[in-house]
Amino acid sequence: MKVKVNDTELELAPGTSAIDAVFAAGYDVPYFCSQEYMSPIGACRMCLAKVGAPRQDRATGEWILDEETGEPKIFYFPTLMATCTTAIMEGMVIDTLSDEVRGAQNGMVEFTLINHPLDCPVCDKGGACELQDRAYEYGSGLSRFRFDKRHQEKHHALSELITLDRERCIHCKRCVRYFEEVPGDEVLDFIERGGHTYIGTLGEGLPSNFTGNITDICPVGALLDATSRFRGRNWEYDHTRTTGLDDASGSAIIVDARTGRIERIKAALNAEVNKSWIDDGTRFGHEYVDAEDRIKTPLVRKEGELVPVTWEEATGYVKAKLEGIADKELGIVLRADATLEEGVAAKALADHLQTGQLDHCPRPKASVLPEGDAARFTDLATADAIFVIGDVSEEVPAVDLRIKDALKGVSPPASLPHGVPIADLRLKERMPRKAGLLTVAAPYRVDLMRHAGRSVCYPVGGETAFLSALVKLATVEDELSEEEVAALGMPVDEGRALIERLAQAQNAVIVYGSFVLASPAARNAVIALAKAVKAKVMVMGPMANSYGLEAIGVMPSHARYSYQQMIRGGAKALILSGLDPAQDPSVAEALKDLELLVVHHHFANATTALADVVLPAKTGYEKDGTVVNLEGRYLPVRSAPVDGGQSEDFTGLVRYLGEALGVRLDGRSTRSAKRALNHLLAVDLRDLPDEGLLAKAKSRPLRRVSVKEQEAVSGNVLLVPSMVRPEFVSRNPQLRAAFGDVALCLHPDDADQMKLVGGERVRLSVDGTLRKATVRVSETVPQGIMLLPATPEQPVGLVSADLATLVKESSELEVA
Amino acid sequence: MSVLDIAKGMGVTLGHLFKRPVTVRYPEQPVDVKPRFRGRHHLLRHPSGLEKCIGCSLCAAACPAYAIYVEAAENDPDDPVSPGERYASIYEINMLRCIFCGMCEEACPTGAIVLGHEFELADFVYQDFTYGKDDMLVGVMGSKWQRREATQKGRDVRVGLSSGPRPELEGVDY
Amino acid sequence: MGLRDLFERDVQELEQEGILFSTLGKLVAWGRSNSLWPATFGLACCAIEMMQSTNARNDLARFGSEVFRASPRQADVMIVAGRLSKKMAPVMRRVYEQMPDPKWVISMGACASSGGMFNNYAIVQNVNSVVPVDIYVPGCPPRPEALVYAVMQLQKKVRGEAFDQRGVELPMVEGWAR
Repeated sequence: MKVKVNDTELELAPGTSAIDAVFAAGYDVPYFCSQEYMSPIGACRMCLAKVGAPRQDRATGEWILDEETGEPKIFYFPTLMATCTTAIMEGMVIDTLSDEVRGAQNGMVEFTLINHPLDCPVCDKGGACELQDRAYEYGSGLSRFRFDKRHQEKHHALSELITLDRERCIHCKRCVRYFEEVPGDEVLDFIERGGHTYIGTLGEGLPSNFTGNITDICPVGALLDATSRFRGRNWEYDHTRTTGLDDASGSAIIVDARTGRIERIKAALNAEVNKSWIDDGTRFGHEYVDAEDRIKTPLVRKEGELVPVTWEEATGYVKAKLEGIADKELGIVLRADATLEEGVAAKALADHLQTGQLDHCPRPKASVLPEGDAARFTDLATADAIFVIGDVSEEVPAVDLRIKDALKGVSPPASLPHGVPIADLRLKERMPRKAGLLTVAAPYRVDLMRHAGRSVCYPVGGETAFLSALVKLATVEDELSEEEVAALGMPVDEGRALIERLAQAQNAVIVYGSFVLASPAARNAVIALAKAVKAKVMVMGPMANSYGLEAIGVMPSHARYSYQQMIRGGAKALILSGLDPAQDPSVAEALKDLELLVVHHHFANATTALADVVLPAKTGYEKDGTVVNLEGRYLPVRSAPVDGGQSEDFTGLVRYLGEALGVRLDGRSTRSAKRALNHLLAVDLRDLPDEGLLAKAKSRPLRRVSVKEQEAVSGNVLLVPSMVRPEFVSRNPQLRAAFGDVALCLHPDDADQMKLVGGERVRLSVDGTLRKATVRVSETVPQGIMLLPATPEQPVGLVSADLATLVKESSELEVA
Repeated sequence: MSVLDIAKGMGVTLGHLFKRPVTVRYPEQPVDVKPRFRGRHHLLRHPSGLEKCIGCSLCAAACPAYAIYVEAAENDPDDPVSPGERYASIYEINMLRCIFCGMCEEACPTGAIVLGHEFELADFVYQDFTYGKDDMLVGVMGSKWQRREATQKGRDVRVGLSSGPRPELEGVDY
Repeated sequence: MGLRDLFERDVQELEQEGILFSTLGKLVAWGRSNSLWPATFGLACCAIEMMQSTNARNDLARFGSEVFRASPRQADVMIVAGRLSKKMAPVMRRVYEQMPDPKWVISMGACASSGGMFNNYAIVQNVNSVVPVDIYVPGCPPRPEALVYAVMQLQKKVRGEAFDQRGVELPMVEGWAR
């Protein structure tokens, strides 16, 4: 459609909003209430413009012409229009520069400012505030309001993580709409009306995993991140756009640091991955970086004590020790959120030392790589049938949000010259959701089931049987046996309906995560199911770079060289990066027998207590490198200016150790690692764009996994994925205050039987490792099973706990 | 050049011998600086005793030499340091970086920081030039060295100034 | 140590080796403190104020610093007045090295002391990284009285009456070249 904005004519697709036409033409109108990816509602009345269009004669269908010029006559709307809710029409004329429009915008700024307090010097939004900017650009600079401003509560803690200043609120309704439209958790609303309107919740807190996003979208300083309250001003922060290493989604984040400290994390826009939303675990889970007990210098054990030394001395010591150790007796293990560059470095080191004992952890038993191309986030958002196996909202929360996009049935908007459309007119408040296209299966009730048309709780540990039964339904016409029906967890008709739905869909996606990956047989079954119904597959690996590390082969050359074998006596020397296996006393005993234990970690822990050499590690916010998210997208990781002392990532370790050994290894720097990766993957990873690079999957050797190990899984504790990383919870006091401690979830009947009540602190030996947790009683947990968050050392799966070891601690919560 | 010329010249010299010397007798006598001279900073308080500074960092933003470092914190409602929610928990000026331009004074929304007349700031060690809140809050007189020396010798701080405070500081004694 | 050394080496140098001179040391220090001849090292606008401090109105000569020596070989104290560019730094070091021991340095003004507002690639951020500084004078530029005050401070230091914020006494002379 042809539209004329001031003096610029342009061609736009029908359905575009007038505000996007204005921005596409390179002009500007102020707005507060519109927001990318949310419905336009015209609440703030700031985007007023003079809008008109030619008219057709009803009778003849001819354009009504101007008598003087002979051109189609422009009929202007009688009043100024809010451009965000106006769709463009053929020949529409939009005027944003006339005095009338300027006057109206000026008046609206004055109205908005009438009840807005002059808090700018003390407001954390100051300097990055939309109202401040728009008042400067479009306001008159003077107020004629000589009366008292409205007074409301100034410091209302909506939750532990978010504070609300009700005086500053300008009623744009972004936060209210956000919760209803994006995560679908209706937790905020307007209360009262007129000048008394305020934002409030029904109960206590904000029960959602995605609350932090409202602090990003609030156009004023009403909703603020409580963790970074008064930590610094916006112009003082160093903004680093990087990729979150908290989960496998590869969400884009902006790390704001000041004087060597991370003060806050904000969501960045990556239209094809996380849009502009991130979960609270990613946003608030950074406090551990500045923890007091961070290791900042290399340490070497001398006469039983760990003594600070230089990197050269530490690696020199390692070199001297390595001389007495035969090839293949050295093990190298990375944490699975290490970058590709670190992976290359580890491989190069293992090659040089001629050992096949190389691994990353947590590494599920089954491959995290899909066969062929993985489903992309856009596939998910446009899918017409989705089958989820697992707890998406905790495992990779970004996937949860993109599934909810699909439920709205609105495809991702096309990009305009100015970027993502500001007002997408297809989105509406309280849209009907197509719950029918979503099926969620999990061993217990998960959050996403509230939004699913069909939800299935299959027996705990029964993934293989459940999926095999579905495969049978999809491929063989036979009736299911009784056992198989039991494994299905739902009536057979429903199972058939699910298969039908998936098979008939144009664009079906099957999402599965760690529960399936814990068993190679279950994984094979889900791949068979995907082939049978022609669905794409999205695999949620346990950590940020599980996909990438497996793809470049940071893996043992033989099954008996796996990490689990190494730490239990399979190796005589170990280099562990970011891991703490010694929590398990039996492993600790085995580690004591090692000739050399090098631990590369951020914090002192049970393993560093046994180590000969402790090397300070960089956190995910300090590294430079590349990760591969669950789509197979290469995403850049950039270092924020954080004071990590002498910490280095694994490439640094390999550089120093290489210097000690007198070799120049691949991966001694990110540059050389990128060169090596270019050979390995045929992808140039230098200067990756912010939105990442979706390279065509190179045919790679698939990990062969023997399905023989079909030992019957049994146990009474199910280790489950968790959005809040349990290994860092104790060092993230505010996140812990909001989301609680590591929780041991129980069914009420079990709790009664074990004489436990919610909130009690307990210690329990789970699969040999002593775990501390707080009891939480919930109906959603199946009977006879306890749920406990998985750690890198204790990956997702069913394990057994010795209930005799259960000890109650003092019931009061440790307040950090 | 005649003898007369020499005599004339010597006459000028001789004439000056009997004039009042122009030399300022600093340090024996205090200096009278001009009213708009800008010297060491003062942090002011409200008459209620609360600090005027709210820790907004605008002075640090305005400072062309990046000499100011502010860290803010939340006021305890029962025992506030400043009015409102926010106060400066750390307020430091590096006197050696500072160019005494007065931009901080202009930027301050509450009039908390004012440059005074004190100029005797010379000291021996670089690290001793970081002036904190304790060194600048109104009521503190003299540079760090002057106060240090006075404490050691057990006498009052002597500041070599005879002119009054800056017009902006007149009448401020809380 | 031979008797010869007593005559050939400096009092303060010998004191550092444990030989006490007591009153003689004080006398020497007093003498030195009252005849601090500056070497000119005017680099920028501060130099104008430095010149001002020697003229009739402020008359630095009252403190024994009357003659600004163009030759470093006759000077005791170097007044670095103005921003020191990195290209000038070796020249200044050379001039400093040409000064006879004992010698002192006054860093005058914000730029010489810390780079001031010129936090850039061209300016030395603290002349202490080139020569050992005894006194820093804040100001942009410091008024002549402030420089006079700094010279008085230096006299205190030369007499051994200076101490830092932690109460540590400062040595009379820092920069022995020998």
